[in-house]
Amino acid sequence: MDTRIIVVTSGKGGVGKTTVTANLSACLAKQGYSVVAVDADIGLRNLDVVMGLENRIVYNLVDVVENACRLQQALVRDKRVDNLYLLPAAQTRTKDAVTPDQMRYLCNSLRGSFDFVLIDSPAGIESGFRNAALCADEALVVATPEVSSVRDADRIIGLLEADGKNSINLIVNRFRQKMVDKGNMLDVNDVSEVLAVKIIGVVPEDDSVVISSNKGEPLSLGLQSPAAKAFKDITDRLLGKDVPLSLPQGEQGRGFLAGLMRMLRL
Amino acid sequence: MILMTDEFQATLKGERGCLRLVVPEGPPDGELVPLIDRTLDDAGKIVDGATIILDFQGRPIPGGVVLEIMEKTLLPRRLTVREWRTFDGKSQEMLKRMGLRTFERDPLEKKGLAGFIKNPPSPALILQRSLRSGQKVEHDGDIIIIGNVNEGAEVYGTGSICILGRLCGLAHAGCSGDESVLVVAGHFTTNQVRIGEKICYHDSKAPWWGKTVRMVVKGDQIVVDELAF
Ligand SMILES: Nc1ncnc2c1ncn2[C@@H]1O[C@H](COP(=O)(O)OP(=O)(O)OP(=O)(O)O)[C@@H](O)[C@H]1O
Ligand SMILES: [Mg+2]
Repeated sequence: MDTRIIVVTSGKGGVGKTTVTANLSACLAKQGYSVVAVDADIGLRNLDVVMGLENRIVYNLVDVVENACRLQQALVRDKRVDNLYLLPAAQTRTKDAVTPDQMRYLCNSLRGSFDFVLIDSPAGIESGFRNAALCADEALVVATPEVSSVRDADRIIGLLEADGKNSINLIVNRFRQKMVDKGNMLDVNDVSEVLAVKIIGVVPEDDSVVISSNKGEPLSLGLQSPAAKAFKDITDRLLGKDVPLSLPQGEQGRGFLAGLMRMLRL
Repeated sequence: MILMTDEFQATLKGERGCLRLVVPEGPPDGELVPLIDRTLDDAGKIVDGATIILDFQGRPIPGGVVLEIMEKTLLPRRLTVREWRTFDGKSQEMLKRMGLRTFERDPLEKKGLAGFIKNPPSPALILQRSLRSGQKVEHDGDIIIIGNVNEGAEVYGTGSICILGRLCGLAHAGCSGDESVLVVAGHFTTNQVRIGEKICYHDSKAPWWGKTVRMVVKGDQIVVDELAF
């Protein structure tokens, strides 16, 4: 089985990595793929709560790499949908509890047994992020349309590129068209122009996200909402389906130089 | 002229009387030592005892890897490293802390002499890529960037700096004190530009914001003019 290992990362904290990991994992599983969502945010675990699986955790990622249990024992199966598993983080340890070699070993153990492995990365550019990204074939970078978030995403993309990752897609989260119209928020085009990577989806600011996180019920397993639709579209695009991105159309380029840069694909 | 691309192969090139080993950004840290070893092996006798520039382009290099490179590839061949080059700001700081030479430029104190003693002209650095946040380029000579300089990226050149794309980060031309140089930006959206020892500040209300501009020092300040061809 060809396994796609995808890291969900952002640089800046609180922009929606965990939300994206939980919702895309559930969406992929609902479409019939076998999926493991890995919480690599060791010490600050969240993914279990957002997925609603916190009560059933016995072992965690650190137990697995320290050989305190087998991988199968640590995987928490989601009862609401077939083939969805969570590998929870340890809450009582820190990022240093896992070495790059252990992370590599873990990813190799998961490779071949699942269609997708989604890794929820911690914020920052330190060892926690590096471990999360280490074995990923692809990266989903999450950014909100704010200057600080975009700058951090840029930093992360630079590091991913320097590590030889060439499949990097961007998710713009918490997008608010009304604020863009009033000139108070970056447009998706502004973000894409700075970051120069492919945008795989735009998730609107949506109360249903908060409600579903608190209920521990990923959107694709429950609520219908604009955000749920966005996650479904992103899942389809990940699967190679041609779902047009309904981006608000803005000014396309800026004269001769912009044209030249587009030609040079910069 | 030095042409830099991000090919996925280590290459040896001549640069100002020594060899420059360009290390690809792609392979993981663990593969660097064998890769450098192989490249030096392929080059054969000419590298023995040579002086080289190790150019890691945009990749961050952890301290451990630096030590391993020294121990396994440089020391056995009696190589002298003139410069450890990387655009990664954090790695540059680390290398400097370890006392390794990262980039040769005249210290600012020598500025008084700079006007009288002209260094032989250095080749321009042509960079065919964009610089992302946290990446930094330093070069003794002119710099041409065929790409953008994003917010949080930095460019330091002892000569002029020409950026074809967007300039959102920091450009410091004439960083050894030469104020006869210029900065050109294809799309100007940055808050600060430095030439020699002059600094100028801008915001989005500036009439040249978003335009193609040239900046030079006139009198005791940096003046900006919009370019139209
Ligand atoms: N599209 C959205 N609409 C509304 N609220 C959202 C949206 N996306 C995320 N949130 C909320 O933002 C908060 C942070 O999200 P989340 O925990 O997924 O971020 P994170 O990047 O994983 O954070 P950390 O860096 O701390 O791990 C949560 O309360 C979440 O419910
Ligand atoms: Mg999180």
